[in-house]
Amino acid sequence: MTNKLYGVDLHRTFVSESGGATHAIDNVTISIGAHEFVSLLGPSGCGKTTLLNLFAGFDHPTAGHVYLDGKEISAPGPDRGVVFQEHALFPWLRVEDNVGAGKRLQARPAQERREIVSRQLAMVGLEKFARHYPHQLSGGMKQRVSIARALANEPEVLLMDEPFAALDAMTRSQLQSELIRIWSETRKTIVFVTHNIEEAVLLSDRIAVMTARPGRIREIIEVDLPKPRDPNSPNFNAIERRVREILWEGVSSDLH
Amino acid sequence: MSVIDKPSSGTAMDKASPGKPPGTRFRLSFPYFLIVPVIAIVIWETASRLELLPAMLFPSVGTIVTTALDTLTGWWGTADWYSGVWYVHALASAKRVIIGYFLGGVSGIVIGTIAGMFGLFHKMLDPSLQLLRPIPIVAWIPLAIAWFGIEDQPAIFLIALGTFFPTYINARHGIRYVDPVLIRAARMLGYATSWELFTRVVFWSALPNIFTGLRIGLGIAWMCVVTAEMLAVKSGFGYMLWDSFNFLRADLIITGMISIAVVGYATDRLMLLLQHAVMKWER
Ligand SMILES: Nc1ncnc2c1ncn2[C@@H]1O[C@H](COP(=O)(O)OP(=O)(O)O)[C@@H](O)[C@H]1O
Ligand SMILES: [Mg+2]
Repeated sequence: MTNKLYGVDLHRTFVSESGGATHAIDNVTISIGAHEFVSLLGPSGCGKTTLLNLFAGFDHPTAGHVYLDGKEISAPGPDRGVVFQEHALFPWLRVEDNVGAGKRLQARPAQERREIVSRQLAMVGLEKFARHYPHQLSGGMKQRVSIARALANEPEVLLMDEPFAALDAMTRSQLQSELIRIWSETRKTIVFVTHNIEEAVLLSDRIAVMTARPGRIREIIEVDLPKPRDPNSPNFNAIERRVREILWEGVSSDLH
Repeated sequence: MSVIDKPSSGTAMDKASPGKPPGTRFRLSFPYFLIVPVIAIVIWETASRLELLPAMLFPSVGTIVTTALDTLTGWWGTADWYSGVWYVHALASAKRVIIGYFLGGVSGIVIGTIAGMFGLFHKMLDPSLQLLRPIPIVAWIPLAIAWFGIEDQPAIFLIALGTFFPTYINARHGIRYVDPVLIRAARMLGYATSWELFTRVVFWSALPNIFTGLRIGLGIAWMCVVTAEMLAVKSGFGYMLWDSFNFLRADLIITGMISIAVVGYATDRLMLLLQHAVMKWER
């Protein structure tokens, strides 16, 4: 498998005005293969968002380097689509215009753009809502539009920061299955941040289990089960248990 | 990797109906808004008939209505030298408001936008503007007359000044406090330059604030025109008020006040219509 994303010896330290330093990311090295689905899993505050923002180019490492296809990442770009926790749709644009808002799409002829937009909307099951404004949609629908918007701009990588955390259990599990379907249809490389163990095991090829203060990757676990997965199968539960143990080890070693 | 069945994506739960929400706009209901004016008119008329003050200073409702209609139509001549000339004064005030409001509003939005976008500019300019802002617009009148003489220019100057501050402050605020996650969304979609981010995100997300500033500014513009016309000009509603006061004609004074209320209200509604037309995404 070729490396799509590569972060090496990454540190990100936030210095507060009073001079206190937070080592949000401390010595993290991670490589993510093309078409791979990797989750960053860990408790709140362990640096998941910080790490994702380095890949997105929203933020720069204090030390270390991040690469996309061997080229150093220095800024955000259309090659990396991002899905935010708070949907971040443009309230003044209709659903179809949100999905078509990407710069790559805007550069295309209008007819072509319309086709891509309706294809993306169909993929997330929202063709009928093309003319709606974001505030007229439910939370789950907004997140679908947000996924469609990121994909429509034809990125190579999809970075998702707890995209389903704010949704109710029903909607969340619906979107999880849709994401598995989308991933297998588009073969995008996906980095998915979550603090939910079951979600990580359900979706990922590999799970990077992180610990807090300093934020580190404790272990990377392969989930070698065919998708879609059955959360009630013994294999699934065994992996879940292992992930939980690693997470707990991290927490209890923090206490010493 | 196994091939995955396409789950039916049009299912249940988190999907609202694609239809429009039922309209509530044209529902007929009891005109509650009339209660207060009706009571006020009854009290006024009663007080007027008690003749505690001379009728000239406290005219009956009928007199006021006749005078007001006469300023519009010239049918009865009860408004004397204001008979049938309402439009002349309305146009005189409106012209000053339109020009002053345009100048003040445009410069408020432009300078507010620049101050919102560029921190250094803001640091240079804002403290001085904040120092000028507490000066009541009336306090500028002597200088305005000294600089611009009488008639239109001093009035336009005051209106522009009065409009400038609220549009500047609101535009600056809207531009400055745009949601950073929307900026990130635009950046990940490939937009990088300040100009792209401004036209794609910042401007649109500041629009509600810009309109707030414009509407506050419009109210202040009418306030300013009346003030200016009372002192520096010989036409318009403000002049009509002050002139009628000199002749102790309360019916004309009240006609002038009602005129300002009606025209001010109408222009505010127009601005609201414009806001709804531009900001289609807000209900
Ligand atoms: N911009 C920032 N300034 C200061 N501290 C920050 C900033 N962003 C994150 N942190 C700190 O870094 C740590 C990791 O944060 P984050 O990456 O958001 O965690 P997670 O996404 O895993 O919940 C936290 O302790 C957080 O308080
Ligand atoms: Mg986070």
